[in-house]
Amino acid sequence: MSMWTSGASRVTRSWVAIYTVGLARDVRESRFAEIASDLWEQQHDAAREGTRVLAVTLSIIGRTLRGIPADLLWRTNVEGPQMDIRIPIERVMGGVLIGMVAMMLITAGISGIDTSQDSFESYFIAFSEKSALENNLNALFRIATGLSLVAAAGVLYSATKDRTPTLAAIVAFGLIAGAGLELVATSLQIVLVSLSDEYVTAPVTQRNSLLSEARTIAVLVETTTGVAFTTMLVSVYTLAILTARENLVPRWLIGLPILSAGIVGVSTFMSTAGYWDDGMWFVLVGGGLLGVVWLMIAGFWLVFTPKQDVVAPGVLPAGT
Amino acid sequence: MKRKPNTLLPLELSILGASIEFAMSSDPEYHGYAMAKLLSEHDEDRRLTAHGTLYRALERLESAGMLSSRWEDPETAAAERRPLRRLYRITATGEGAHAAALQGAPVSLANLNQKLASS
Repeated sequence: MSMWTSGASRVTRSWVAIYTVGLARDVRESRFAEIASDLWEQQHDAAREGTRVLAVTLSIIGRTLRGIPADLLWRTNVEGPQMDIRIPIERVMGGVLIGMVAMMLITAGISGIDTSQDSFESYFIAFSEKSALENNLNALFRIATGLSLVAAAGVLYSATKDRTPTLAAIVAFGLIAGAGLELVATSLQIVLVSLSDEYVTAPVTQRNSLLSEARTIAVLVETTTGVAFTTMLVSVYTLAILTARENLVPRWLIGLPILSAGIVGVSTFMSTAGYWDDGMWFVLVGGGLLGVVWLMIAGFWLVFTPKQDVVAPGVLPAGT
Repeated sequence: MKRKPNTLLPLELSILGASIEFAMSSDPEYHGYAMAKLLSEHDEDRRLTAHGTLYRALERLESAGMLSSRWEDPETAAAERRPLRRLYRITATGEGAHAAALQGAPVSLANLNQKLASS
């Protein structure tokens, strides 16, 4: 069996895993077993007949793709029009966590404007050099990210409120606050872009005041983004405590957010104590990114190994 | 393809026809891939039927009582070091439906089963 045909078989099996998700175990296993048998027979038949690997690979992929409408209809017939997809809530949480990685990186991406007196002008003018479409799409993308964060807060709150209501509320509040601040930062950045357009066409006499106004707004964008990212980090740390407490992810994983919080805390303290330099900025960002790394690992963990036998606090399993 | 009442879809008719071929051979039972292969040999472009289309049609025919299926003995699969096969075979209802469809008569399960019961 070649790497290519095995890869094609994996694609087919993954598709079966997707369209059978949430079905009764016997129905799901039966479909899995039948497709696994078919794939094995096809590959061995091809090997016996000396069919080219590329032809077999394309045939397997083609059979899978052509069968998608029938697979979806089969799925609908199995459950009827009122489909009841029983995806474990932990798996949904995992998906949200993975999505949050992108949302947090996008939020962090708003910042990065050098607001120092000497360098700000070149950063500022760069806004006007971008096309209106690029700037609009950028703003729309960030607005969508902010709204997605609100949705993520809702999903995570619903998924965890019965287990630990206080921690669930902190997580949701942090994300909603982060989303709100992200939207504020995005609006400020839109203002910055329009000021930049005005700046390049303004008479020289007006430029200084425009630049000063823009720099104030840029500082606000940077500060708002920083606070947004921090509130999201607080949500991430709270989520880490919640998931470790409920044994949803391995407890050792909490080491990452603890390290992240330590680095962020110490570097923030040192910067307020006057030890701030560029190196410290990298340490702070690195610390924050450790929290994002936790999100990614915990997200994938929850998606692939959802805990099915979670017992609500205070409820003993039958027979104990 | 939209199904008319009391008719078989072309693929279902082909599956029943191929099932009769299997039934007349030394081994009347077949697995899904064997069916896909036999159908491809009768097909002009010799393309194997898509997984979703094939297994959905087999399931429909089985629910209509035209095919029956069983999972083979796990020891046989283990001895041959391959995944377990689901083996299908045509039923008397399936043979009747195939004959009726070839004559252009409506495939009424109630009628077919009544005929089988009286014969």
